[in-house]
Amino acid sequence: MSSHTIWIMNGKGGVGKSVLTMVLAWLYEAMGRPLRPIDIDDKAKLAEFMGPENVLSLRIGASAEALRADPSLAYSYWDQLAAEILEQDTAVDLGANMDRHILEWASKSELGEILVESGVTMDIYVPVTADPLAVMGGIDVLERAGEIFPASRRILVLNRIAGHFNAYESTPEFDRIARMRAEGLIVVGMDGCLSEAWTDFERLKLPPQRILAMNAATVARQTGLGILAAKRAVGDYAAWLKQLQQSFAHLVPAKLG
Amino acid sequence: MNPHWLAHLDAHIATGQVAAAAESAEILSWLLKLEPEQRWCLVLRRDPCLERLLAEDYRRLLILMVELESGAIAHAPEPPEPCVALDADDAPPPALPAPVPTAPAGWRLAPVSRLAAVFLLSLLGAAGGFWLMQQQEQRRLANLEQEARALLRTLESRDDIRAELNSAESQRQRQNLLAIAALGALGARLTDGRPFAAELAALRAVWSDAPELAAALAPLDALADQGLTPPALLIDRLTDLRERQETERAALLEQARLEALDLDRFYPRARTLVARRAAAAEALKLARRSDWRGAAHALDGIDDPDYRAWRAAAEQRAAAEATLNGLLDRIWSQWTAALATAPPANAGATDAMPAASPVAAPP
Repeated sequence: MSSHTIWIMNGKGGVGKSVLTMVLAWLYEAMGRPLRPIDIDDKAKLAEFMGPENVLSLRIGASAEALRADPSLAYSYWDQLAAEILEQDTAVDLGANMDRHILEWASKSELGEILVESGVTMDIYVPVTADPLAVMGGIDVLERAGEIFPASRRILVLNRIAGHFNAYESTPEFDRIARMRAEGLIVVGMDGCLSEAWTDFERLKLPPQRILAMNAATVARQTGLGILAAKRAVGDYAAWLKQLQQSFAHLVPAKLG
Repeated sequence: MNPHWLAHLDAHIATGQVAAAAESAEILSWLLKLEPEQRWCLVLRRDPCLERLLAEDYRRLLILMVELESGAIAHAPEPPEPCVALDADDAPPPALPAPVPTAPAGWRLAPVSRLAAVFLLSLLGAAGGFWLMQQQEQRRLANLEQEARALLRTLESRDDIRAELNSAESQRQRQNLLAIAALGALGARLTDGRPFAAELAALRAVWSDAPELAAALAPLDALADQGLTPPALLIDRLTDLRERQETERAALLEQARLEALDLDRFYPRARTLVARRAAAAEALKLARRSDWRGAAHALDGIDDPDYRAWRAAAEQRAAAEATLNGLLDRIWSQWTAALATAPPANAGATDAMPAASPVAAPP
């Protein structure tokens, strides 16, 4: 049975990569296809949310000085990533500024061809927020990833937490996205969570499974909200998850075999 | 998708909707208990508590106000007077959040001089120092905290002073201002007896690069999840203990009078109860002056589990208040010391201050 891998990447930080990874991991599990989370981030944000015992954290594996002397040091460390991807269904959260290194390694190790030969299907999610650096970074990553993984499915996630993308209509960025859409790029919107306890949930590093399992008294205690406000906050959070389920569920491939 | 997951989500969504309706009903109930001009004041100022009203409840409220109370708009409190003067019994239901309002649109703010900042901070410092002594200062401090946050947001939105705020000197001042506002919020929680884990975390975030200040909050960690016993409840409990004691003393006396109790047993017990009565009276007097450490000390000689429990709660409150007062003193000293060595304000900048309300000195 072939495996499936999803990569979540954007060179710009703060666009919602780890949140999207958490939500996709929850969604895949709910749809009967649990993913092995892999964190390639020196800040290890995903491990903070999902617990270090549940996440495989792969760092560069060498100091900055050693890397400058021998950039290939990073590559051999990431061969473990290739082994994991070939072995099982995975979700890979690439930290900000890691995309360039990973894509270079993937290009040099011809990972794209290996995955095709092994029957591994790949989705590349690139979240962007409505700020110029995030949009430019996301488009660059999508174009580069399309060259290295031509058989992959690329998904641009418009994270509306920092505003809408109306200002980008009829811009060069819009044209580049339109060209990629003609090549099969999928564009999906993602609204910000309106739950009053969202900031507390992020601060406490709580994944969706834990939030939905907490009772109102626990949420109230952890967030300082009243009981009613805590119930409303969890309800709003659940409504946000349901909205994401409706947006992303059709992208989850059915398990074969 | 596994239908169980969707059902689970739907259950949470439904619970949240029911809670939102209940919350809206509580808020509406509270609003209807106010005077008409107070309601107008809240609506005209777009008070954040109205955000939690459902559309149907908001419509009911507005219909009432427009059709029956339109005349009250002329008597609504003018800004910056508070819409509602609250004591603990009149406060909005605990289900309501503690929102921080954004700066009002069109609030024109000239460049803020350090003198103006000292004025604002003196208001905060005075209120921050007095909250421990006066329960009625709690609401005023909450208003000042909100004004400080609104002022800080307005300051940060101005291009011509963002550079000043971003300088190393102003970063410390900004941090001190935020710390005072956060300490005020924490103080309000301690007085209310509500959990304050979120406020502690906020203070630690403000002091992320000042570990010695953040470490000073450690004694409060054990109480963060349940909160402190509110002062009013402590006084009530001590009053109850005194009354129980009086009842016991009266019963003892009656027994001795009816010769149902041996006098050899009566006198020692009576002496103990009289001593306790005196100690409890002294403790109650001190507790009403918010001298919790003194009140606990007054009960040192009483070997009774209920009094011991009360003493422990009073000592916790005294320790927490001392911690907060100490931190407030330090931040205040840092602020004033920094201002004393700061360069003068830009020439030509006006000194106009937005219409912040001066805090009346407590009685």
